[in-house]
Parts: sequence; structure tokens; C-alpha cells
Amino acid sequence: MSISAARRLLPVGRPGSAVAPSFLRGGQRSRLGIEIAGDVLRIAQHLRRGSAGHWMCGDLSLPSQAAAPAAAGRGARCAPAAAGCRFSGGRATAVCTSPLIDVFPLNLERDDDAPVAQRVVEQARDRLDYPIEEAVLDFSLLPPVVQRPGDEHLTVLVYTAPRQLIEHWVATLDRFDWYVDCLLTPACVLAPRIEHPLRDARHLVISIAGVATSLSVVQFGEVLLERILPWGAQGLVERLQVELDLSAAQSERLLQQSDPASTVQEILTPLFAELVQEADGCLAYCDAYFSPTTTTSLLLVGTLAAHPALQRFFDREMGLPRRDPTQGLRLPGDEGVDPAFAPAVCSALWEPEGEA
Amino acid sequence: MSRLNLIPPDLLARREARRLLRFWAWRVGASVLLLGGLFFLLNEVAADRFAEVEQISGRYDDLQGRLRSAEDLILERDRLAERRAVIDLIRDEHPADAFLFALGEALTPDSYLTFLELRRCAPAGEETGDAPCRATLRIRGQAADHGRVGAILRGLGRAPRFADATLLSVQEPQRSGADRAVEFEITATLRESDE
Repeated sequence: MSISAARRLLPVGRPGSAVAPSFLRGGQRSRLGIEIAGDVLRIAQHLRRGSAGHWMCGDLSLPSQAAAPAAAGRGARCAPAAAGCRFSGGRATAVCTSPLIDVFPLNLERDDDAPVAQRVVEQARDRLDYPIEEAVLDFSLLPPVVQRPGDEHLTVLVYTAPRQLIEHWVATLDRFDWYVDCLLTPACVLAPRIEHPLRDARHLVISIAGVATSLSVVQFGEVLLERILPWGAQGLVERLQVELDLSAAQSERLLQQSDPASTVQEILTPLFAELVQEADGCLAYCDAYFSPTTTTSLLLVGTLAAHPALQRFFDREMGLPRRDPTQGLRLPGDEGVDPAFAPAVCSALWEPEGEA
Repeated sequence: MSRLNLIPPDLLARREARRLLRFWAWRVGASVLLLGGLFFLLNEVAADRFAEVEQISGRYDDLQGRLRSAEDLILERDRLAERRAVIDLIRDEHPADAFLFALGEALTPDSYLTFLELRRCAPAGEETGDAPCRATLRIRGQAADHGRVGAILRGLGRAPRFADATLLSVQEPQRSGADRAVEFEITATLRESDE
């Protein structure tokens, strides 16, 4: 397997900026934060030299066969490519946005004697369209503060993924000498970092990755709902390719234009509309099943987060106050991060169980 | 903060086991390489020492061989000397016997020797350097009369093994009576080639 590495270093810290001591491991480097966005890995790590802290961010393009789960365990070592990115081996947290990951809420009876885990597995077995033995499953129990008054159910958010997918990415990242001990969805790492003047504010977080898009609703630092759409930036590129009969590179360049032609906007509008529709659905679900709140904001991260056309579309269609990741995320340092790297940066700040 | 993780614990445990296995495999491998390197170096040093010992051993054998050949030469010389003495004995060429035989030929029947001295020269290379050394014979004895003394002197002068026969003294007996033998003293030089 050949790896083409594209390095992009973004020093975004400021000397003397405060750094959360909890994530400093070995004194000078944080753990690696990796976002798996299709065939592109976005990597972030905080470096501290003296009193100055810097975020080092970079992305690494994998060939499509390396990104496919069937290629797990094959190929040469990837450590040289990782070294080319200046990211040394070490412990890492990865977030994966894949349409194969399913996130769904469950309402469980509070007075049932059976363990919650067992009830979750039983209900997940009925929901999954593949054997549960081939799945990995985890869940979070939502705090009572988000529940509607008088609701006696236990609300659980269940995350499932094919075991093969997880094993594939663990094996692939192992070849980079990156020891991923925690793999999550983007919403899980972004939620604890979202800050707002109002404590009970509800946030719609949209993270657009390569092959999928994560939509989530966050309140009190907890993910209330997450939905993963089966298309991302790559889907937009493919749509442009098909509609305009262009090459992939041409379509990418067209998509990156700050003010695309009206034709391009017309082609992309149905996808953007679908995204808005799904977002509205998520917010409506939360309004219906969780405690009501009046304040809601929008946080746009991921590949196309800085895309002006997309931002304009959201502003126009959703009417939510859009917050920049620099203001909306609680990060060490006073300077902002590239919205594209926000999930990777928050992954680098993730504290796995036992290290908190 | 929730503690979600989509990596199942059994996968984490397997990876940890693999990591530990790799870690120890590397350590063991590195140790084996290190020990191998040390063994190789020691072998090299030992090989140098072995070569040195071999060289010294060869030189010792060479010296032993030379010593043995020297001893053999000495033994051979002694053996040859013994053989020559035996051959000389067999050929009857012993020098002293030859001189005595020649001296006996020169004497007359009624004369007697009372003193005999044979002076031999030192072997070549041990000469003092004053005068050339000559081997001499000196005899004293009694003869019936002066005529017999003269016959002895002539006999010595004729013998090929003697030269320069000289009569040193002739004395009449002091007492009177029937026994009137005269005493004489003669010297002669020995011929070197006949020794």
C-alpha cells in the first residue's frame, strides 16, 4: 500500500496561552487526535515548547483501497508516511464518520430489573440489519436534566458499528504506529468542548467528512442525538462530476471556490437542502423528546465548514446563529483552529476512561 | 462526560498483548544480536590468540628440531670418532704403537732402556706462537759398550719415523767388575706426517 502524504502545519497557538494540563502527556505532547474522513486522515496534536503551545495539524491521503474495510491487515508499514507528516507514534483517539455507524436513541423502562446493558443489546439486536455478534456496541445514558419533566424513562443513545470496520481502522492506524485506544464519532469529542454563555443552550453540530456527514444535537456537553448521513464532501464532488462531466480534480477546485457559479449552487442545493431537512428533523426530535429550550446555535465543522456558499445556505434556510469553532469550542490557546480540523483537535483533547 | 468507546475491550486486550509481544520480541532479538556480536568479537580475539599460540608453537617446534639435529650431529661425530678409533685399531696404525715398534727396531739385543719420554705438540690452533713445535723422543738406557750405543744411534737415524737423532751423553760405569755396561741418553724428533 502506498501512502501519499500531504502535510499541512497550522501553528495556531499563542505563546503563554493556557493549556489544559489534563491532556499533556509526557510533558510536551498531547495524544494524537485523528479524524477518519473517508480516505483522508486529519491529524492534530498539541505541542508545548516552554511556555508556548502550538497545534500541529496535518492531513494524510490514503489510497481508496486502504480505506476499504476489506483491505484490513494488508499492505506495508505506514510508519514512514507518518514520519513524513511529523507525527510520531503514540496513543491516539480517533473519530470516524462513516455511514456504517448507526446511532439511535432508546427509551428504557426505569423500573426494569434487568441490567441496562442487557436491555440495550436486546433492543439493538432487533434494530440492526446484521448479526449483533458482528457488531460493536456502546451507549451513553443521558442525564435526567435533559429529559422532559415527568418523563420516567431512561434515555440511552446507542452507537453501533460493524466490527469489521472498527478492526480495519484499528489495524490501519496501527501500521502508522498510532495506538488508537478510543474510537468515537465526531459529536462525542466535540460535545464536551462546546461552550456557550447560556448553560442550557442546545447546539446543532454539523461535521462534514469525506464520505459521510454527522449531524448531532448537543446540550449540557452531552450528545442528545446524532445522525450520520451517507454522503459528505466526496458526495458533493461526485455530484459535480456527474452533472458537469468534469474530472475529480476539476470538481474539487470548483467546490472550493468561495463564490461558486450559480450552476454549481443549483447542483449542490438539493444536497444542502437534504442536510437542512435532516438537521430540522433532529432538532424537532429533540424538541419533542427532551426538555424544551429556547436557545439553539449552529456549529459547522469539517471539510466544507468554511465554505461560504454552504454557510450562506444554512444562514438563510435554518436561521440559527452560526458560531465559529474558535468561539464555539473551548480549546487551549486563544487563537482559533481551522474548522476542518476541529474534530481532530477535540480528539486530541479527549480523555479516555482511566486517564480523566 | 460520557466514556464511550467503539473499540471493543477484547480487541484492545489483543492489541495490548500483540504490542507487549512485539516489545519483548524486539528486546529478545536485540539481546540475541548483542550477545551474538559479543560472541563474535570474543571469537575474533580468541582467533588472534590462537594464531599467536600456533605461531609460537611452530617456532618452538623449529627450535626443537634444530636442537635435535645439533644433538644428532654431536652423537654422529662421537660415533664417527669411535668408528675411526676402531678402524685405526684394526689397521694397526695407532701412533704410539708405531713409535714404540720403530724404537724397538733401532735398539740392539743387549741394550736396555731405563727412561723414555715422548713429547707431543699441542693440536693446531693452540700453539703459543714462539717457535714451531716439534714432537721429540728422549730415551736413556744401558748398552754393553760404546759400539752398541753407536749402533742404536744409527738405528734411530735410519728409522723413517725419527729424525735428528742426537746422542746427549755417554757415561762409563763408576764401579769395576764384570758388569761394565755404559749409560747413554739420546733424543730424536718425530716425523709429523707419521704421527
